[in-house]
Amino acid sequence: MGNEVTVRSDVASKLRGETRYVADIHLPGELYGGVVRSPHAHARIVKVDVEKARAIPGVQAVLTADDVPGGAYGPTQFKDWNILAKDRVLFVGDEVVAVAATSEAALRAALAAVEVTYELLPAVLQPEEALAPGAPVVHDEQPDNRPMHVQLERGDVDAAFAKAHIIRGGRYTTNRIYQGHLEPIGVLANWSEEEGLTIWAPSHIPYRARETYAAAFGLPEDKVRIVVPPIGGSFGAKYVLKAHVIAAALAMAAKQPVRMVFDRYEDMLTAHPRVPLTIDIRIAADAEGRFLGKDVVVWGDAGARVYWSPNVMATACTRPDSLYHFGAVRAEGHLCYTNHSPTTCMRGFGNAEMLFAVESVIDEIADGLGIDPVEIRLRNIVRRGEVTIHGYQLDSCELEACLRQAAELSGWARRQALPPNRGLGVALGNHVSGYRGIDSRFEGSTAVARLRDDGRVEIETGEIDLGQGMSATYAAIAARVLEISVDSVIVKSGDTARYPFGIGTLASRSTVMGGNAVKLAAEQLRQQLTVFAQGEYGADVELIGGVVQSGGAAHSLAEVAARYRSRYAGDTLEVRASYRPETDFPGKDFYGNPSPAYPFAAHVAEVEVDPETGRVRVVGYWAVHDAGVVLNRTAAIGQVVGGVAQGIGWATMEDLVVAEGQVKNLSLLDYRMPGASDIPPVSVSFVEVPDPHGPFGAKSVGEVAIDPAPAAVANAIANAIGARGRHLPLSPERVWRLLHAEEEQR
Amino acid sequence: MSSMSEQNRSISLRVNGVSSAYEGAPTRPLVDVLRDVLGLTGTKVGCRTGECGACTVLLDGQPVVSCLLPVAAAADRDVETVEGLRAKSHFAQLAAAMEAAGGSQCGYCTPGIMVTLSAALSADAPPQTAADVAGVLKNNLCRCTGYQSILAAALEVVRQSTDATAPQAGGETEWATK
Amino acid sequence: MAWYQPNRLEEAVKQAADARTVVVCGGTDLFVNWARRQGTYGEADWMSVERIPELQTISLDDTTGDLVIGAAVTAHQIASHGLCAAVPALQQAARVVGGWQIQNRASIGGNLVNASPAADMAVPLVAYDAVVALQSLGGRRRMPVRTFLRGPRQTALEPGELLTEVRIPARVLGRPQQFLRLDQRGGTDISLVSAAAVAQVDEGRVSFAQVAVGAANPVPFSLPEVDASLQGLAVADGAALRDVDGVVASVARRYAEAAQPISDVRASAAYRTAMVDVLVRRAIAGTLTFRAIAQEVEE
Ligand SMILES: Cc1cc2nc3c(=O)[nH]c(=O)nc-3n(C[C@H](O)[C@H](O)[C@H](O)COP(=O)(O)OP(=O)(O)OC[C@H]3O[C@@H](n4cnc5c(N)ncnc54)[C@H](O)[C@@H]3O)c2cc1C
Ligand code: FES
Ligand code: FES
Repeated sequence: MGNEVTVRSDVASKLRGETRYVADIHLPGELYGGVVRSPHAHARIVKVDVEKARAIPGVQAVLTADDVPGGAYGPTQFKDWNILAKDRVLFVGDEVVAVAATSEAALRAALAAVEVTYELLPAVLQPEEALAPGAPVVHDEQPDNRPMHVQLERGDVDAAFAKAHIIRGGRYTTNRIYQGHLEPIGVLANWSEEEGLTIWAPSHIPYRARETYAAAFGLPEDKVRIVVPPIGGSFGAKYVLKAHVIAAALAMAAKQPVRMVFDRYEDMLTAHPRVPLTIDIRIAADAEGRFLGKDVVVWGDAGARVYWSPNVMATACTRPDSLYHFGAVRAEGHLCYTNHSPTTCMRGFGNAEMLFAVESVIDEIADGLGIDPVEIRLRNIVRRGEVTIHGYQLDSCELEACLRQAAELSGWARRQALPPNRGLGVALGNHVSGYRGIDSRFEGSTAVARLRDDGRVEIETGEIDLGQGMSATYAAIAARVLEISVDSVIVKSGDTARYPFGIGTLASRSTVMGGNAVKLAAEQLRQQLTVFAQGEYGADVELIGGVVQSGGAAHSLAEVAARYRSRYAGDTLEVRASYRPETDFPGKDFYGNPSPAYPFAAHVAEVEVDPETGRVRVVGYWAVHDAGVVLNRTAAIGQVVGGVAQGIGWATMEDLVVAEGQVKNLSLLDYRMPGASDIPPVSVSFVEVPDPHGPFGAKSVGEVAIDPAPAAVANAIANAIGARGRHLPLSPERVWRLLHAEEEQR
Repeated sequence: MSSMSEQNRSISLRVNGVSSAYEGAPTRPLVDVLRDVLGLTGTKVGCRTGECGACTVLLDGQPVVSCLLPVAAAADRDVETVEGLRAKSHFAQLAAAMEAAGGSQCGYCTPGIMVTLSAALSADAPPQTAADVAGVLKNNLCRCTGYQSILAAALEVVRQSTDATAPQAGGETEWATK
Repeated sequence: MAWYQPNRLEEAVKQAADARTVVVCGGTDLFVNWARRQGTYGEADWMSVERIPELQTISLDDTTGDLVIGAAVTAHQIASHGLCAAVPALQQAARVVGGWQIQNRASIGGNLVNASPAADMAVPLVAYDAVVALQSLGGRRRMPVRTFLRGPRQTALEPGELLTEVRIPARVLGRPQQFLRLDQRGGTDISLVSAAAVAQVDEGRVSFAQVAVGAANPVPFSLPEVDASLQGLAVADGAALRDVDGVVASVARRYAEAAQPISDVRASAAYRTAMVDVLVRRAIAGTLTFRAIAQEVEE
């Protein structure tokens, strides 16, 4: 299984409802798996009684912590995961008992029959409280509740602030954003003594999943196989998940396949949302609006276990410093354990959060100095050829062109004369195309290219398509190298037992990392094919239009493939190539060039605010991107519009509300994602200049698409109402409160 | 036809023109019967609360969310799922427009959106503007696309149909514009 | 567990008398998150009322001129039926219930019996002072929607009773009217606050005005004594609204004062209260400047 697609077959099957997601796959004899979860944010487990549950007919396995390996493991260098909770539960939703049964009814009955006695413990729910002396300790191994502490200073920040003409800043907070993948979390697991574990898991980093799950069960990695069905949306939610581990544990115990498919309620209850950040920020500038210094302190709520929150924190503390010249920068980041469900990354990875604060403060400085927001940005942005303060090497950068074009397309000059309650806001964004810090051991990607019997070319990759058009891009790259039609390229991925190793689809890696590997493999295939054809047909062979031409005769690739087989004992012509970028691992000091190519974007949002209700409508949106050369235009536009839509939802309506550790809005009714009417027409354009390191000059686009969006919307709202919202989301009530602040104080 | 159905009496379903008898709880949501009993997995489950529209099917030609429809309420009525609709020629026209516009990314919302749009585009008064299409899709969530490409695809179909029915234009189309 | 699908009212009433019977119409309230909630219904028997002809009709009562809407009529039918053009505020409410798919199933009867404080169709019905008919083996009774709705999920429906029709009095048909709701997104959503107003202007003066507010109290509410202050208000043709601003604003303020909304995950009580003021003001203002519909219907 996994995915085998040509560009057209993939989309066509989705449109026709033929694509089989994990919930659509069944194995003979499969059991229904489920989990008894903690209803408390923090409690001691006094007693677990599973006898009644075991006695229910149809129940095939009931597991407690005593029945599963107890060693700590985890997908990052922070090893703080278990399989089931042993002594304490650390958050609402923490897994205590797992059950597998022959029917959903038996499963429900068994889950209800499990009796767990808890002794409540004080919970710590705010990062700042978690750092206070005497705070409840989440993990005994980390008594200060702070798994990560960033401390970074480049240049003399205090001196910069001392000579500043203007300083602006304040406390900004970002919200708990639920990825909102339309396909709920699901998994299917099977165990056999010979083959070990096979897990059908929609994960876009399946090799990290394999490594993590092998460690959890003490198995060698070749005894764990991850098969990746098509993924119904992730945005960061479907990396490495406890649900996969628990389904696997149940399958091992029951010796039968186990399926576990969450409904939306359970998906939201156990969600790993964006890391909510509290940001204290100050930026100093001179009288001309040139930045002199930036100083931030960030608190991040990691929840009770580490997922990808450290990367989010690192990105928040550093990334915008490679977008603007801030002069001197200082960042302190406290990533804190709390008794919340673990938080993780979502598209934008901490950068969009910090940019919300940074871009807001920049507008305040512009206001304070009477400089136009576009103009002040032009005075401070990074440009091509520069090495930024943290060592990013900008071998391509069309940020200035993006900004100028966004201003022009949006009619920025109108900003002076907008009707009341209308506002225009601008914000910029940058990102990476793969991030060296994701894995300390290696970076890059490997692809296999193979000439099939039928003359078509097969590409295998370890990266994963999420519907972002990755396979189409890879097919386009291979087709371009081999000068064959895109429809005769088949892209295969998503099975750790069959396809090459890949770090996976995160940190906007797929276009540049996987794309370069595909390009290398296709080039080598072309070369080997030519050499072989020369031996067969003569030195003058040329590969043109998918046909080998020689001495006036044309030989189809199918014919060449057949000849190759007859010469090599039935083997097929295939090559394997790895792309290894020249990047630096960002060490403790976060210095170095962590990515081969950096994409940029300038966004302008226009809003209309109902001053009496606070209801905001985004009425216009302009996004101009530097994504290098755009290889797949429809997909790139789709990425930008999708990112903007998520940014609009984030800035104006979305928030996973927690109180006392409980999520309060466990439905798509009360967790409001934008509907079709909430998104204005989005104008998307590209400034296309080739990047020297990207395949055919391409850079990434997926994450930078969302980076500026919340800030652009927030700046537009501030422009419309003359007051600044520092806490996301800017829901109708928040905006109304901003507008009626004086009345409230009275 | 008897007006009362007795306990455990089988429920007669007509899905995509094929009749079958369902035996089981009458309150079981239609979506589960379609997916788990009839094997029609094109209909997706995204929420079970009626918000996301991934489970949209046509009931006597009108779109409804099948997660909120007890199977007994579909008895003796016409149910059409994406599997039935995709066999119709007008579906291909919409599919082509969706593909060209990039209207499907992860694809999970897609069958529901195809069903809703199919119904809207063959209605007496098909949507004419982007706002109309957005209104039609109020009950369908998509997290990937930001909707723009989907609205464009629907309007493209409307445009093609208008062109086709205009006096000079040739070609037949299944989409009615009037 | 049995499923009954009567197609005659009399059979339905008989079946409803059985205490095990749960009535269902469109199911858009009852079947939300069914897998998690089915346990609460145990071994109930089910009776679907959606195919009973008497409950499916929309008609004008020949003698009274009232508009009579069967309990099983859906939001979509209300939004598109010719006779319902005389109750545009109800149509506006019907058009915001969920989206197309929900509107194809959501019944007006279900909206009332479900008795959510935020039920949208209930709000214009309260403004109209509409009347429901309830039928059981014991007979038929009528009562105003205003008293039928008792609290969140509470109505005056007795065991064994069916809601059969909603009757909208002739005096509001074709009158200028408006329904407004405040929600938070363009997808399906729930009212934070809603308001409906219906009024009549004769010879430049308000001769009739009724208002209702939804989602701000346990049930949609009206303040007839406050509405009365609009009586006789001069709103000369084409007059700028500022002439009536004061009176309308004071009506809106009094509605806001009477509102006792809750604070929940959707909004705070303070905000909801303030929004009652805004929506009532806008609904009345919109109604008083919106005369075309009245003329159309009367012509
Ligand atoms: C996604 C979604 C969005 C929604 N949006 C809105 C909205 O914007 N505004 C809004 O007001 N509502 C909304 N609703 C709620 C719901 O759609 C409406 O309340 C609808 O009118 C209920 O009608 P129904 O026929 O589906 O009720 P059902 O679910 O069939 O029944 C609801 C209740 O009424 C009882 N009942 C039904 N008919 C009768 C009768 N004739 N006699 C006696 N008892 C009866 C049932 O026993 C049950 O208790 C939404 C629901 C969903 C799922
Ligand atoms: S699953 Fe039915 S509407 Fe979401
Ligand atoms: S394409 Fe992924 S949700 Fe619509």
